[in-house]
Amino acid sequence: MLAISTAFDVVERTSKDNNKTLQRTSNTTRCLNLGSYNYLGFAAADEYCTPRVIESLKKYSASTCSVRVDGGTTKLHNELEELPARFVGKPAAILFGMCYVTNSAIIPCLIGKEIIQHLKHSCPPHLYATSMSPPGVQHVISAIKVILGEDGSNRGAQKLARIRLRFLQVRAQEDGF
Amino acid sequence: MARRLAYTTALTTLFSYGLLFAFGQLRDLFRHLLGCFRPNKDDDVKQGYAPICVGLEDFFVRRLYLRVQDCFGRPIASAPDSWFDVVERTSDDNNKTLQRTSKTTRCLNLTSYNYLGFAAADEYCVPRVVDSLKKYSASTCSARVDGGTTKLHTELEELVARFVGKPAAVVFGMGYVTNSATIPCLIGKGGLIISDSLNHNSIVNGARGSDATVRVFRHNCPAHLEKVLREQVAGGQPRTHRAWKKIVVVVEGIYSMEGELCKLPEIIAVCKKYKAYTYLDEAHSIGAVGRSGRGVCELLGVDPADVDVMMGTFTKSFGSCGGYIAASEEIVQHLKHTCPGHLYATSMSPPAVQQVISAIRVVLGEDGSSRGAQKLARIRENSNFFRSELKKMGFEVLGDNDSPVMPIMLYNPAKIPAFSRECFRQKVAVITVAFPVTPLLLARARFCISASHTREDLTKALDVISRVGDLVGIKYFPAQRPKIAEAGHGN
Repeated sequence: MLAISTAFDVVERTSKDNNKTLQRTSNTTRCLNLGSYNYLGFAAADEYCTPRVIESLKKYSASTCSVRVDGGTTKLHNELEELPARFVGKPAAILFGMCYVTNSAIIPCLIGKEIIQHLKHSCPPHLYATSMSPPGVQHVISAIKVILGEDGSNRGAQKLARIRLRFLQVRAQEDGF
Repeated sequence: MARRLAYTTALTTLFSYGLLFAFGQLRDLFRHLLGCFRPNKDDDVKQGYAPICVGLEDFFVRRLYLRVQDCFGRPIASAPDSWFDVVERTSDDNNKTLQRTSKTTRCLNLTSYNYLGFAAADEYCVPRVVDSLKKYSASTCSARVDGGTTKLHTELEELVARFVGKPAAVVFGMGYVTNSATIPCLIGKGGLIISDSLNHNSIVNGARGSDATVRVFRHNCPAHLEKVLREQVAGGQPRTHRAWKKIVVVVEGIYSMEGELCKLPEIIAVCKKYKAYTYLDEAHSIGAVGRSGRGVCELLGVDPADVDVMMGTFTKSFGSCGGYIAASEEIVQHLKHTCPGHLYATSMSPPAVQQVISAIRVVLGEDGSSRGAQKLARIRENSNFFRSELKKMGFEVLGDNDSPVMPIMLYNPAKIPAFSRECFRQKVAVITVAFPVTPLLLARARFCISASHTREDLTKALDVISRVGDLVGIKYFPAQRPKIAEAGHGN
């Protein structure tokens, strides 16, 4: 039988005013996690990713505390921009530290009424926002390499097969009803 | 009073831009013709599709900006104090690309928003920042609502609220999103935003992202604001003509391209009359003006309670990064629940938070000394001295007294790099500003004064600027015609 999904500890909370306010307790409950977007299981410690992330934390520190166009670009940032481009099959890529602004600040740079005002190198999260945390960058690099099979094993292919198989199991159960 | 542009200056400026445009188009024509004989990446453009990122803005960069890009974005190799080290660059393809050398030039810094001198090491701030770095690390690497709130963040929010005179405040790690992500949370469909015509791009983007109707009033003109408000209140929402759900007027304390102070008392009076909310962006004015550095409300005698939302940044006077919104408890709580800059962005770096806390303490005199008051007095004296001397020399100086931002007009495109390069050669670093940041005909150089400038520094700078001004021909109001000079200054 296949391994069970990741479980996690959920903090228990209490309320004395019908949920108007909640107080955290120190009790936790071990629960099966069906709530996270943890499709390939990289949200937990990983044998390939975690050591490399720790190494990058020691080498690059937790944050550049700079924008990309100042001191916020490391070798990892350049490496990561090459990797998604190759992974998705496009000639180039640019990365941002905050997924929300990847959309909210990009679309105004691509099209607008006064397009002259949006020079292609005037995108605010590239010019003003703190660059992505180097250990965060390293984690993505490692995860993509696992998926591509460049970690020297076939764990990536197994992860992809396993998430697909689990979906088929659910469909089978539904048919059973 | 509207700025009057001499006809000869306007004609020569238009002629210069026209010449540059024609020459650039000619080069593009040849590039296109030659391109027919060899494949290039332009062929990647899909047939029948409009290009995403070419067009006039690409032409502008290729044919106008690159020619003078050595005057912009100069790297520096030291803290941006009153003097700093500017990295020298070379080019072997007529500025198409620039290469950095390891040589630097020690220059007098008139370019940084270092109003109170906190951009360099400070005896009170630095030890506390170093301690917070050891205790909290360089970054929380979390959003505020995850693990990104430390005691320092809470302390800073209380301190900012007290400093500006509002009940509550929220801080953001990035000055730009303080506007662009906040305005959509305050007003939406069915609302009306009335924005000064020269407001910053972050305000413009925030207003556009809000889905509210946006109207513009003439720059810093309370009379025109009243006219716009009256028309919009009477007319109501488009098509349905129902009453607006709310109206917000957005202004800045100091306009960074104009050096001009907002006419805040008059604008507040108009907003109260028509029941419009006010949103005041003090990115440049907080810490830089006012007897105790509290900004244009203090300087112009406006009660902070009369301004509904006060925005500011920590990047100028306080030598740090990020920004804040100060407002009522209700507004701040609403922002903390809805603003993506609070919910998703990495929180402000703890040492950067400590830097602001320490800087504000110095300004408030809570560091146990009078250095804050001295800094504030010095920046005011330095600013007014520099401005009056520039005017005496015959330059067309924009902006108001007490403002540390001092643009002088250049106009002609050839004078932009000429002024910048010649000042740099004489070890004075200046910022030139041109289209698209300013209107096409209104290119200028902008000086930013700091409390850390000494009188000797300013005198040397004035001497260099005067000589270069004569050389380049930008003294548009020579001293021998004082009456015309007085009339032309406007404010």
